[in-house]
Amino acid sequence: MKDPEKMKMLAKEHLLASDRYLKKNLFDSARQEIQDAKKVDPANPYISACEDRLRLFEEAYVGQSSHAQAPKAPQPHLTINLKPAVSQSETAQPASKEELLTTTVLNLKAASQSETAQSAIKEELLTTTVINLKAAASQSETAQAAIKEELLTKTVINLKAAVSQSESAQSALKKELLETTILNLKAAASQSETAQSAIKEELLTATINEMRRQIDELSCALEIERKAREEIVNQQLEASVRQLRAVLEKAWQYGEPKSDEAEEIQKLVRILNISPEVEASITREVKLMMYGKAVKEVIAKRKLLRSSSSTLEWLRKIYQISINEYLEYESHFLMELVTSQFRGTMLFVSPDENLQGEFVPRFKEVGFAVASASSIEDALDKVEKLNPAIVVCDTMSEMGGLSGFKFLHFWRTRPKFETVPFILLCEPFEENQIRASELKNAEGFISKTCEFDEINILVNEKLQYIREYIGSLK
Amino acid sequence: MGKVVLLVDDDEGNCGLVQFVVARSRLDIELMVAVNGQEGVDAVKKKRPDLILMDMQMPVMDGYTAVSVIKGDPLYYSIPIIAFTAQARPEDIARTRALGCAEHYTKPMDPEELLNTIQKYIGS
Repeated sequence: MKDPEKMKMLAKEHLLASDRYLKKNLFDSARQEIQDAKKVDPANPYISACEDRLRLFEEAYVGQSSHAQAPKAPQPHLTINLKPAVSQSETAQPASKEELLTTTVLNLKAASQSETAQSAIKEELLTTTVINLKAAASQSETAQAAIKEELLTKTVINLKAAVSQSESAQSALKKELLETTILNLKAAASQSETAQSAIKEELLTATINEMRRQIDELSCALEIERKAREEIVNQQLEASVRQLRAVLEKAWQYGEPKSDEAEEIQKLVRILNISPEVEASITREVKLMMYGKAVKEVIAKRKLLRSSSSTLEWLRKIYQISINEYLEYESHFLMELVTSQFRGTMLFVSPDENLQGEFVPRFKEVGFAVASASSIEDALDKVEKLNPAIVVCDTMSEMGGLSGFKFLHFWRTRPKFETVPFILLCEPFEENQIRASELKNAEGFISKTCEFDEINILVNEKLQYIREYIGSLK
Repeated sequence: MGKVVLLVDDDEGNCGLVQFVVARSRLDIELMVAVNGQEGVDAVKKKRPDLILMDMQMPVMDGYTAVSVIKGDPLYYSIPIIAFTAQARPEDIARTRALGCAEHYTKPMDPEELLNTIQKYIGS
């Protein structure tokens, strides 16, 4: 759709062009311009005025052409119209005055008409201009109003759009927020579930641990009770065994029990609810113990017996000792008997005859086989042959030659004597020195001024230590 | 009812050994012990034994005297007496036999043999 204002302006241009053609008497071109203006803006009020002017100028031009020397065309314009009148007046020499006058009148009339027309045109143009201006103003107002309205509409639309966008944005934002919130809630819920799961797991673990602890306590309690019961049973069994053992010892004191004693024992075994295996074991143990005691007595009285071997054989019959039991135990009894009486070989080293005379016989009395040496050199010579069980050595520090300390150092260098006790007989003033010298456990010292019982106790202590030491090695 | 055996011996070891052997004999024997002849005679008078084991060499009253006293008493004449001595010479044996001893048992003793001898006279 074409802009009306532009169309109006175009029509105006056509009309002004028409006026220019008209002034040049180019009536066709002027008419054409008027036609163009009419096409462009049919409602233009000046079109009809321009057509009237064209018609008037054509008529004037035609009227002038119809007279010989007549002006070629009437001039609607005052200046134009006057010129032909003067010119006509000057050139119309051959015409009559009347004619000239008529012509002049006509011209004047025409001029008058022209002025009127011009005035009318002016007025019309003014009116048109005013109208145009009004129209333009109106149009401008309308346009402004339209623009305003349009702007308003656009603004409203924009606002609506903005509002809409805002709403959309808000909606989107809300949605996003909602989604974020939901996600956060889900995450929180997930975390919460994880946390709850962790808490549940922790609680479960704690519960399990508590249950385990309770089970442990219960197990401990049961174990204690079981042990207590076992202890009771054991104690009962032990008491029963003790009772049976006492009866058996009495019954087997002088050999195999008589039949009536054996019956009593069997009754007791049933009462005490002791199994046959236990009874047999205890009986065997008691029997061997009693037999062992009898053997020891026999060995002790061997000088009063015609034959120890026949006596022992007799004892085996008395105590119902089988060959196997004899082989297993009698040698042990005999060995024990021998070892309890024989305490081993002692090497007594001292140049002091009084000291030897005081202690050597006493050590022999308590079971030692005593070998004497009067010097360290003599002791070194004897020690390899004797393999003594213990050495008692005078320090001999004031007698020149090798001292007891040197002998002790030599003793320590021989691994074979590691388990042989070594006791120094020292002077009283040497005690502190020896005490500071860090003797080994198997080594000891005692003053020469001591009593025999004191040195005998020390000797027994060291031998006991060695026995325990060797026992621990096994 | 158990039999009563009187042992008259001043050697504590011997007495113990006889007690040891008799106890293990499982014979029903009551063993009385006296440490010299006088105590032995007194013991016989206090409780009549079924058998007497008499050592010959003892303080206070030796075995020979004690045997003579016992055998001289009609109440105890029948009690068998076994000379229980280390003296093993034939004259020693003949002497104890002459005094009325039923047996001459020579020390050192053999438990089984001694028990057999005792059992022989007490009949258990």
